[in-house]
Amino acid sequence: MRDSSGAAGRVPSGRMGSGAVGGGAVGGGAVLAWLASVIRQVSGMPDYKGYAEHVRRFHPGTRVLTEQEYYAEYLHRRYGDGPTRCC
Amino acid sequence: MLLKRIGWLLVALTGAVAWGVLALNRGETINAAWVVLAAVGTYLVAYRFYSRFLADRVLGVNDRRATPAERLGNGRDFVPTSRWVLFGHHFAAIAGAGPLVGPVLAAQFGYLPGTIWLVFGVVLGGAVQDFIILFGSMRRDGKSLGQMAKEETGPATGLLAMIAVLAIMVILLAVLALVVVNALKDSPWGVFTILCTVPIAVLMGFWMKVWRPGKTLEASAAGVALLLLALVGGRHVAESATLAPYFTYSALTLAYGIIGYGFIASVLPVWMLLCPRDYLSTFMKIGTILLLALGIVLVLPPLKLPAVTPFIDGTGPVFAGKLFPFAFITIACGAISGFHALVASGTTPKMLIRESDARLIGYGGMLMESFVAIMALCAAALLDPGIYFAINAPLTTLGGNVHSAAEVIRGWGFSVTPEQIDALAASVGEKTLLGRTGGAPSLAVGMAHIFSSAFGQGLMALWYHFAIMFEALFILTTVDTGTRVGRFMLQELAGQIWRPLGRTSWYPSTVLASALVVAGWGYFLVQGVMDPLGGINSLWPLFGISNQLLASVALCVGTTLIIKSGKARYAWVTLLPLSWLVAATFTAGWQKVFADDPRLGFLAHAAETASKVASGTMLDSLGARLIFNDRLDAGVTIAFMLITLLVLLASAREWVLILTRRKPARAQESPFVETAYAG
Repeated sequence: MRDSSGAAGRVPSGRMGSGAVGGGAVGGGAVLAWLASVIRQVSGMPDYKGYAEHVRRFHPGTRVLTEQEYYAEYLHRRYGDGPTRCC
Repeated sequence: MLLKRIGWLLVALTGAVAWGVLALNRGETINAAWVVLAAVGTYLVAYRFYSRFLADRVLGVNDRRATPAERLGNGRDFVPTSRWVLFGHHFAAIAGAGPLVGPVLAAQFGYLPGTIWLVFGVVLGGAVQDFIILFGSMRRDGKSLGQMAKEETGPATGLLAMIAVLAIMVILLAVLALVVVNALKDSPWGVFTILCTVPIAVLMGFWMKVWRPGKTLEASAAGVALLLLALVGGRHVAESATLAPYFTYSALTLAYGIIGYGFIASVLPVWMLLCPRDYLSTFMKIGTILLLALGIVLVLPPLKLPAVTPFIDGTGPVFAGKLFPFAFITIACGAISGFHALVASGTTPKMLIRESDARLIGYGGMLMESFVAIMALCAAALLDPGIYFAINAPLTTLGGNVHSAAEVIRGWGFSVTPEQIDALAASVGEKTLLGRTGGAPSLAVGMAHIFSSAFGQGLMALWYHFAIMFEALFILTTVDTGTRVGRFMLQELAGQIWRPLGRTSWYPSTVLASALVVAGWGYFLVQGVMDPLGGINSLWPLFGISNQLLASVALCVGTTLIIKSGKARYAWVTLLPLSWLVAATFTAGWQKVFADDPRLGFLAHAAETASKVASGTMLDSLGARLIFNDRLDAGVTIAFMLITLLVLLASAREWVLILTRRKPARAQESPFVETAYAG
């Protein structure tokens, strides 16, 4: 079954921003952190840490936006760019 | 392997048996379990077999091909996201008030027509549309529906699609705002709770932006807690003789309030009000939908509404028109929604990790939306039919008090007493529920029934207002975001005429465009509030028609994509739902404009009003305004049909050119890049 391979195994670590919590950590804290990251991603909240990590890792030499700049850009992307939600 | 086959056989059999029970039941009531089983059984079989056929044969999903999220990953909008998280994200974006309200209104035909259309419409139409548009956009680096229409069919089609979207937005916002107005008029509890969401959102906004930047979850948790506090507080406000009058408003006052609010929300910085309310509404939405699913499974309520009511002949009080075409117009979003094509070609395609995920998210996400609509239908159908019509028929039809209402409803063949209507209103903490058209209040009563049976008897009033708050909150969020999006679209269009108007950062242009968009939907909202037929009767079909016509445009684009990728022999997967939609929607549009029945046809209603003015039974000024509104509605309907017809013709021309080999079948996809992810 191809379908059961699971998405996480295919993605090099770090590509999913802070959404991917290391598989090694166990315990209540890790579960909470995982839950928080799922809620953030589902509701489309900004993920500055994930973004900054991504740029440092995959686009070295590119300037990382400050948190304020990133937030402003996020808001513009979410609300200034065609419908993001439905009726 | 064999076990799997037996498993699927069992799923298919369960679904088939459930459909059999629904079809053959002629008893007084039927359990909601049969509706749920029939729906879920069909969804599962369709997902396993039909969506796989679409993925493998029609679209040629290829997991060796890198997605835009992988190739263009930037940590901002192009972010590879695991598929179940993205499923939740996409679902939260497509689920709105439409699938909740539409089936409740269509319940005037009984529960069966709605169930059949919701299930088969989604499996063969809505989910196909969402999947194909999502896939097409993914193959084109996340291009929007309008851009795809422009590139594949020509610039004129792209412009028409854009104008259509803007016009639909205006109608959508008006009708949704009307639903909220009807739910909140003369309801101090509801108004207090909803008013509280504004300061709560502003507080969250400052929390996330100024005090503790980036702490969005923390701020949202506090926001939800305060919101629930406001809900409980609303009861004390409603019961206090001194406070209640401050929060009791007529429909017209509320309408102007929402118009003013929409304007302010559109020109304020988004971080202050719009974004935090958006989060609040997303949490409430997901939470309440999960709660409703759990409640329905726990309670399994009997459905008291008949399978089919006599109103399929077009004489129904909730909205005018026969079963065909109006069941297919009224249900709208839960079966197929053109709006989804905009979302499916927005953020989601930029987040897919691999191509095959588009099947779960596009097709599966829409099945989930249809299931929400099925739950809403169950919540409405569990009410006594007499109660359902007491809430959903316009006051002018019911005669203004519980005694006349009970008599009118008994005349339709449903038993209800004035005492029952009063007792229900009292049990949910309202003075009256009579004539609260728009679907939201009857849905809230149904949900309150389910929640109080499942999670706590005696809290009926609290659950009712919880449901009202949930509906109003996310409808108003749609009003906020929709006004803003409409403003950007208007600025983009205006920028093509005079450059400075297109600059979204230029304040005068922003204020002007916001005012125009708000004035647009505000006009239709006030028209709806003043409409002697209740407003929903004219505006909801107008919205349904526009949304289904947008779906037709999306299916045209989908067909073009399929034909251009050299798969013309499979083009029936989109042509089938397209022909049905075009047939239903154009029939409905034609009847809304030209039908002789003044309840149904805009022009016939204008003529009736004119004769009332002439005979002196109506004031000149009121008559003139009503006649203008009827003609405006007729004009808007015709404009929607014309735009769709033009898109249809332009697309058909393209199809013929390709099929007769006068034009090469070449889709404008981004070039193939092999994925770097481990297989």
